[in-house]
Amino acid sequence: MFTKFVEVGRVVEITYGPGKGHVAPIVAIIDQHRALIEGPTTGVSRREINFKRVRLTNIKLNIPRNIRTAALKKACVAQKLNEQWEATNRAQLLQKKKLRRNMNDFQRFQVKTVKAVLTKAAQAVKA
Amino acid sequence: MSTHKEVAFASGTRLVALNKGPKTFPAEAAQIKKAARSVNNAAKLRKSITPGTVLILVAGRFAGKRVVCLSQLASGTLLVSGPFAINGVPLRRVNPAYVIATSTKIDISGVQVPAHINDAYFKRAEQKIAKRSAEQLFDYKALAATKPELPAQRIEDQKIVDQALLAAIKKVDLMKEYLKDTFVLPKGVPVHAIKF
Repeated sequence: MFTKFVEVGRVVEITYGPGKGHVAPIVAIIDQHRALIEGPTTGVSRREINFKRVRLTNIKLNIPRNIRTAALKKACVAQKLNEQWEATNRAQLLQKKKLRRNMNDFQRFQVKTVKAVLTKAAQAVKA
Repeated sequence: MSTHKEVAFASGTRLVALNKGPKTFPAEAAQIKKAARSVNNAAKLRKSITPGTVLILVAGRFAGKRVVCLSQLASGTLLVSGPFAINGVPLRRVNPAYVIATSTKIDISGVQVPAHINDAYFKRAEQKIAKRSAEQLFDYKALAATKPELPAQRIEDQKIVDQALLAAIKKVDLMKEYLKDTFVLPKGVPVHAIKF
């Protein structure tokens, strides 16, 4: 059964382009290829986007079609869009990836070492 | 020194030039070499390298080793130490073009590099090779014996620097292991995208 649909209020994650990794609710559906999205609390300005460049999330906001920026901002805050998104596994995974990407050489070594220690300990417990 | 001498002639004396100049002149004006106006100064060090920066050597017999930068010498090369006790890299000069500067820095304010360590310090003594006969050429044992020994001063300096450096390294968790580990390029990651 499908649970995620393209609909007004559906929060989507941008997967391509400069806004990659940001989320924003669909404000209006333009046609079968594009939607209007805007995330005043998530750093996404009002723009149209092709459905090929987004993925649907489980989050859906209760907003009317073509809602304007000020009202949308209020709705996002009231319906806790940011908190809901940050609580998802997907957001946490992205955050983790970002941390990994920004590590320096010494930090990478530290992670490698700690990981090796943990793996060894886990194997010892198993055996 | 006088440039002329007095020569007596029938009607008195006159001055004759000592240097009479060339008898012939070149058909074409000789090219005069211009004196070089610029001096080759030591290359400016990039900002990412300061005393205490952990560097990754990318060339030479110690390629891949992580070392600690101690200072820049007058010639522009960097004075580094592994330290020798940790990863076997001795006090050594390296060209900054052949190092990757990491963002990791060690506080080496407690490390005092002996003042006599300069570019001349690392210059090798010229070695005279005696002519060898055909049999001697393959006498590897004798050949090895001719290898110059490391001056005792170098060994002593290494110990002094290492002692202070090790104390500084010990203060940072895992730093010793980090310096012992060699750097290898990760698979499938473009080098320019790696943060150091």
